[in-house]
Amino acid sequence: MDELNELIQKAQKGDQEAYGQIYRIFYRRIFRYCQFNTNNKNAAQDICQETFLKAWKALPKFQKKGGSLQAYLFKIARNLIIDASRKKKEERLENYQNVESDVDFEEQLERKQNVANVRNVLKTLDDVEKQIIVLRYFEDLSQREVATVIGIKEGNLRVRTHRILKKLKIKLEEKYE
Amino acid sequence: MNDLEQLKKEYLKTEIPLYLTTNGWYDLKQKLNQQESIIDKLFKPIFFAPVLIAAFLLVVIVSMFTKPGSWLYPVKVLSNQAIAELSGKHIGKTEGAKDQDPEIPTGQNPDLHSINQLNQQSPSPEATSEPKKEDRSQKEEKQNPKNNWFENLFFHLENRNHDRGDLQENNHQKKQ
Repeated sequence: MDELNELIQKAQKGDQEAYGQIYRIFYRRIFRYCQFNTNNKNAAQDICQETFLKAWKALPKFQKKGGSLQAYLFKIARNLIIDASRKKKEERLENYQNVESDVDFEEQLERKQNVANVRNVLKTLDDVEKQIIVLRYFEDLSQREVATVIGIKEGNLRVRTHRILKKLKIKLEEKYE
Repeated sequence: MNDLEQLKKEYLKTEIPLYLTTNGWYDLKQKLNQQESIIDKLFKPIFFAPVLIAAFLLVVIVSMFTKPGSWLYPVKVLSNQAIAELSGKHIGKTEGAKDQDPEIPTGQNPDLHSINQLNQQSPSPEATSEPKKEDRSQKEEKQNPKNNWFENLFFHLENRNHDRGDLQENNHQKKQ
């Protein structure tokens, strides 16, 4: 943790090599999160890179009081995902008939693999509930960090998490029976 | 919770693209360097402030060589005033101030001042009737050394009027 703090301090002063090490620590997690939310490899890749670019720009203003760096990165990624999904919706409205044909074969295959099961289970949850599960239980963020990323109070998060787990338990029992 | 663990394992299976592992950071580094272009550096306060100060000083220095009528002349006047106020003494005079009589108070038009002076020095012909000619010659003697074309012209016109007044008075007396 101290090592990460040192890297952050160096990067805040403009040390690109230190920022490179931070990138190597977090890029997998950020990509996974983007991939899960966008369901598109290329879009996830672009959003991942854009997240680190934005974080570099805002790094001099970053303070540890406002939360950890990983929460900060996930928050940027989440905002970018929301922007991208808005754009995609607009595009879908424009090219309504071509939506399915635009999805390439590789992506269709990926959809069936890896996260397909997870997505199936979580599809009954709304967006914020999905984010809570992914960030809290899959990415192992603390409650405080999850609250920062989603933008809700910690108390509210606790209540919601409890409700979601109950809901999920029922769903999973149904699935595996 | 075992089910959640199972889901987590499946989530973590997400394949990371080779591009991100091999070239991700290098591409990002290039983008970071592109961001800090010369234009960005120029507009950073630390770089921009000296440029702004240098430009201001250049304008002030150039204005020092200007003459009245130039668009930079007001800058010269202002900078001279500022220097005078800061140092507590007048270092140089502006072009207008060079021609000014030291007796003339600042901010007063020199021509108006001379007219006022003349009005004070030369009483009206009605007030003093007899010693006119003597007075006029004395005035001319006093005023000519100043060598001011405006004052000369003013005196010339005034003398002519007085002469006309004298002639009219003489003719009137003769008729009586």
